[in-house]
Amino acid sequence: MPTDHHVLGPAVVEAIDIHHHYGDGAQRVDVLFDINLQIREGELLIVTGPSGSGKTTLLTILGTMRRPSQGVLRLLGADVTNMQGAGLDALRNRIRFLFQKRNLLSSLTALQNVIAGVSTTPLSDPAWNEPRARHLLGMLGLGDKADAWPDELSGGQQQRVAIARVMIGLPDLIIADEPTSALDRVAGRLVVDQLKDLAMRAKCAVVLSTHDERIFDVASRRLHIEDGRCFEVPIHYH
Amino acid sequence: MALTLPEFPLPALRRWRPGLLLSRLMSAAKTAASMPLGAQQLRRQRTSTLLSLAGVTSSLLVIFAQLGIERAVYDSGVRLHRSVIADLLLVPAGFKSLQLHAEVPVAMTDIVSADPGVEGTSPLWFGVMSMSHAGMPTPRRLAWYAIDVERPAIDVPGLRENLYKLRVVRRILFDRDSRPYFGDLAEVAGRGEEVPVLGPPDNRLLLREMFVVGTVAIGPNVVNDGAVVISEGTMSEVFGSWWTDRPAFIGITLAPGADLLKTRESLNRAVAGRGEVITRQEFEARERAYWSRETPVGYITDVSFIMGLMIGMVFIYYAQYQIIRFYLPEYAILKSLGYDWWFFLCMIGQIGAAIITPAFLVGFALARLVYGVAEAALHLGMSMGMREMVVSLVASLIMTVVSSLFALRRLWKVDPIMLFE
Repeated sequence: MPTDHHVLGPAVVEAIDIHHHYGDGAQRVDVLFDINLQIREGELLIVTGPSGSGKTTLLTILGTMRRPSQGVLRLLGADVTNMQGAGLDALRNRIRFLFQKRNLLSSLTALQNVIAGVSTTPLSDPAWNEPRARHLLGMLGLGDKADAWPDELSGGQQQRVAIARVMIGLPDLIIADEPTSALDRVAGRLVVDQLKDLAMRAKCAVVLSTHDERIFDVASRRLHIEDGRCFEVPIHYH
Repeated sequence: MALTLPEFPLPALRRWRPGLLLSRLMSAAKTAASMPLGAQQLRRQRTSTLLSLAGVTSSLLVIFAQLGIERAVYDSGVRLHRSVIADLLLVPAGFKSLQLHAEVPVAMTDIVSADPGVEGTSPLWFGVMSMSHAGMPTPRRLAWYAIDVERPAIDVPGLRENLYKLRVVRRILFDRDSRPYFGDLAEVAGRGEEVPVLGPPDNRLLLREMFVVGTVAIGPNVVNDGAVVISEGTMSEVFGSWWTDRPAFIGITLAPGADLLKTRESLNRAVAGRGEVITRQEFEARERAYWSRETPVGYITDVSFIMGLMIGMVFIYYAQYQIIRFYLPEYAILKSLGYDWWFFLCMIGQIGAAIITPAFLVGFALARLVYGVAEAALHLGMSMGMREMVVSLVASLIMTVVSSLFALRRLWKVDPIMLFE
C-alpha cells in the first residue's frame, strides 16, 4: 500500500525540533533529539525502535501527557507546548490511547467500557450512547459479548472492545502502544487492520509503536527511532 | 475487514467554555451516576467492603447511642421544668441547675408579691432522699418535690386528682414512671391502696414512715431513680421546718395584661441580686446548659460523637483507599479518556455513599433496638426523634465527604503515563 500524501488531510500533529531529556545536571539523560514530524488525517504512522530508544517518550509527548524539554508541539493547529488547564483538557479529549494491555475497566462490562469512551466528549448523548456502543461492538464481531466482563474475553476481544471505545469518541489522534504484542498473529492482524480502516474512514491520525514486523505493511509511513534520533524507513509491501 | 461507522445523529460539537464549578460538578455527578463503576468495584473487593460496612455501622451506632444518651440526659433533666405552671420564676442568683440545691429565701415572696404585675406566687421545694418499702431489697434514691397544696407550682399527670390526699401529713404521691427498683409500689398505690414506705433516718436513726396514697407521672433522671410529690406540711414534719424557708424556686403568675418582660425587669430590680427572675424557657435552657457544659455527661457524649465520626471516616476511607490502590491503573485509563477531578470526586463519593447508605440503615435499625432496651432499663425517655436522625445523617454526609476528599488526594498520583510502562 503506497503512501499517498496528497490524498491525506491536514496535519493533526506537528512536532518541530522536539528535544527531550530526563533529570538535570549530572543526572541528565537525553532521550530525544531534533524530532521533526508531521502526521496527517487518515495516516497510520508506525514507530519502531529497540527498547530504550525513546519510542514511549515520543508517544507520551505526542499524546500531550508529557511536555517536551525543547521544541514545539502543535495539535490540530494549536500550539500545545505550554498549554495548560481546561484548554489542554479539551484538546486531550480528542486523543485516544490504545495500550498493550490493561485497556479495559475490569468492573465494567464490554458495553459500559465502550460507553466510557464517549461520556466525556461533546458527542455524548445519553439516548444514543448505548445504541452506538452496541453498533460498534456488533461491527467488530462482539455483538454477543456486550454484557461480558473483560475477564471473560480473550486478549484479542479485549483489544477490539478497546478499539470500539476509541472509535465511539471519534478522536482526531489515536496513540497505540504495542497493541498487538500480547496477541497471536490472527488477532494482532485484525486489530491493526481495524486501526488502519479507522484512520482512513474516520479521518484520524494513528501513531502505533510496535516491534512486530508482520504488521509494518499497514503503515502509511514507518519511523524508526534509535538512540533518540528518528528517521523514516521505506516500507516493503507484500 | 471493512468498517462502517455508525450512522447515528451526532450532536453538533459544542465549543468548550469554562463551566461554573457547580455545573461541572453536576455534570460529573451525572456521568458518575450513569457509570456503576464504584459499586462494582466495591462488590469485587468483598472483604474490605464488608469490613468497612461493619466499621461504619459500628461508628454510626456509637453516634446514635451518644445522641440518644444526650437526649435522654438533657430531657430527663428538664422534665420537672416543663411542668412548671408559672409565667416567671424566682431562682437563686446565677441559677444553673436544680441539682445544685441552691435556694431562694422565702421572704422574697413578699417582695415579689408586692409588684402590681404579679397575681400570685407558688414555691417549690426540692431535695433527694432514700426510700424503701416491703417489696424492696434495698432503699433507692429518689427526688422529692414539695408543693404548696393550695397553689402547686407544677402540674404533672396524676397530681390534680390526688392533690387533696396530700393535705394529710406524711401522705405522698409516688412517681409511677420511676425505675423498676421500687417493685409493685406504683401498681398497688395506683389501685388506691395506702402503702407504707420508709424514708431517710431521723436524728435517732429511726426511719421516717410515710404513706404512698397515689401516683403521678414525672420520670427519673440520671441521678435519681424516681420521685415523690409531697406537701409543704409533710416536708416540714419529715425533714424539718427550716426547709420551709428555703424553696428551690418560686413560681410567679402574672396578673392579666401584665407585660412579661417589663415585670421581669421590675422584679429583678426589686430583688436586688438576692435572687433572679427568669422565664420558663430560660429555666429549662439553663438546666440543659448545665448538663451539657458543666457535667462530664456533655463532654463524654461530645467526645464520643467526634470519635464515632472519625472512626466512620477512617473506615470509609479504608474502603476507598483499597479500591483506589487496587484499581489505580483503571483510574489512569479513565484519566486518559478525559475524566476530570470532579468525576473522580463523584466516583469516590459514590463508593462512600455505597458504604454509608446500608451502614446508616443497619445502624438506624440497631440503634432503635438499643434505644428500646436502654429505655426499658433506664426510663430516661430515650427515643429516636427527628434530631437523632438528622444529626446522624449529617454526620454520615460529613464522613463521606471528608473521607472522599482524603481519598481523592491519593488519585493525584494517577498518571496515564503509567499505562505505557
